[in-house]
Amino acid sequence: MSLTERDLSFNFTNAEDSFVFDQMKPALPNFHGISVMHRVDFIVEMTEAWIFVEVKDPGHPNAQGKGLAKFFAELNDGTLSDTFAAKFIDSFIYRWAEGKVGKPIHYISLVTLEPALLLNLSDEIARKLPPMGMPAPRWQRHLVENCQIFNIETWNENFPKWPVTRLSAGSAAVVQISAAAP
Amino acid sequence: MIEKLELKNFTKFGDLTGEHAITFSPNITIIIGENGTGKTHLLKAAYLLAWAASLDQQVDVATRFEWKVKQLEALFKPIDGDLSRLVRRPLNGQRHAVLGASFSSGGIEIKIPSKRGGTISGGETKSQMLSGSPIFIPTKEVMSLVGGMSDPASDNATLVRLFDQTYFDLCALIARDPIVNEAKIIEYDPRFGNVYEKLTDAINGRFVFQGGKVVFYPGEYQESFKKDPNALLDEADPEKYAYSDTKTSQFVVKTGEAVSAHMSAEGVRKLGVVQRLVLNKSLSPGISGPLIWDEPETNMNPKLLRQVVEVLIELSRNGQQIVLATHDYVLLKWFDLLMDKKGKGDHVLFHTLYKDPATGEVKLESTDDYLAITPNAIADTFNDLTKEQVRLKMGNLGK
Repeated sequence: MSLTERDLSFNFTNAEDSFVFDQMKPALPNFHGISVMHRVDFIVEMTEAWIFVEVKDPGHPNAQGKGLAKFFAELNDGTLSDTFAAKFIDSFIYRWAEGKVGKPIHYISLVTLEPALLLNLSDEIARKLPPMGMPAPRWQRHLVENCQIFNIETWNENFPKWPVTRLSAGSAAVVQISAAAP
Repeated sequence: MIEKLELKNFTKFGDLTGEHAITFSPNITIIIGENGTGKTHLLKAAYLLAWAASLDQQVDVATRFEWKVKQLEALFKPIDGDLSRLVRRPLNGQRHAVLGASFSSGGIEIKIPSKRGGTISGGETKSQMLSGSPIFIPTKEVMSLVGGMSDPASDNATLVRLFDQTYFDLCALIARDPIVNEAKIIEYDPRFGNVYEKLTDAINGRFVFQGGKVVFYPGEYQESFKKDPNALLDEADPEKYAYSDTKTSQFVVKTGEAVSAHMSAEGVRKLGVVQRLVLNKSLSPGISGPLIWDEPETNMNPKLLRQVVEVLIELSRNGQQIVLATHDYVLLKWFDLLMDKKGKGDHVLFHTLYKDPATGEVKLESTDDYLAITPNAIADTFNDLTKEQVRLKMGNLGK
């Protein structure tokens, strides 16, 4: 089951189902239809879990100065992690309304940056979601089991059955944050 | 300026000679590698040979050689002072450890036999001093040791047991008197001023010597008027400054907050060492030999690391050769971000030390591109964290 987000192609080889969640073209399957809600890019159904997937590609070989500068400004001022958190929460609500939140949910994203920066961003997003892994006395389950960000290399290393490839061959896989420095 | 270091069968190193030699940038060289790959040994070898290259040529060859042998023991402290233990093990028959360094106009070599008590040999190809005196900043904080180390009442034998030679050397440099009033130098030597004021801003104060003790005065430099620009720095009373109609930078003490070196934060003390060395001209860009700093990040608040890197880049831009060893991603990343390769010609050369899995020998990979560092023990640590989070929270999903 191959899904594409611009220059990045994912193949969830062992999934029961996977689809573009933020589909805003009415003629296409799984039309989302509520533009005011934030949306993750893909949802993948495994036997034992749902996987929410968001993709950002600042390491795209043709990424432009202005767009990159905006991305890094948002990374620095925290609005990027706000957006990631909002995408998860709105997507969760949408799926709740669909009656499809019965399995544990993992929120994993692919951002083409170097691993150390992603580790920090992962934690920043997790802090903005309702508490994970902490005892909440009346809860029966966690909202999200794992919130984590990968780049192409770490994604492929950790999820060999969900390979991601860059469609434009031979391009840079990561981008240095210094590229956006004015 | 040290240009190249060659090590063969020395401690953990295999053959780092010829095309595998360790080259040094005239600007900044950073050594990374896991624990046990010999980063500190490499730094100490460079330090020893740079010191040897700075020795006065009036001193006869035999005395200079004797000094080098003594330093080998004092720096590396092998068991029982047995220098043959500096030769890489396991031994397969007899072998020599070789340490060699090249400078702009000559070189120095030392050969140590694996036979205990064997003859250590060496050579020099030079006709004049090859380098200014190097400076070595070890991992432990030194500022708070200066008082005890420079006190004649301290038991030297105990100190020698506790510390290697780098600590004695650095304490001696820190204890040197400031040469002149720093406010005057700031005014007339912007190269000094840029570095010194940056250091003072970073630690929000400065260290001074009072009655054989090191004291930290919180404060900052402010533009003000000074009466006597030729006044010597009054270490006994650093608050005593006169004023005149000459506009200049003045250190303004926050009164009532002076603390002993022991009570100041450890990271502040580490940067305070650099501040002191700059102030007493032990560290003088363009004149000093290499500044060698082993793990600047140790015991330092990561928030100070940006300022550490800014200071090091400033020193480098003013002609100071710098060699560092680090475990710290944050330090590396600040170099990557703050360097101005095009505008100011900043350059960092990275060397990675790693153990050859087949032979156990330590080998070297080099690059001047931060993202191309490989193998990168620091990046691997982040990848390990990523993998462990996936393992703990997602089990076998996607595998």
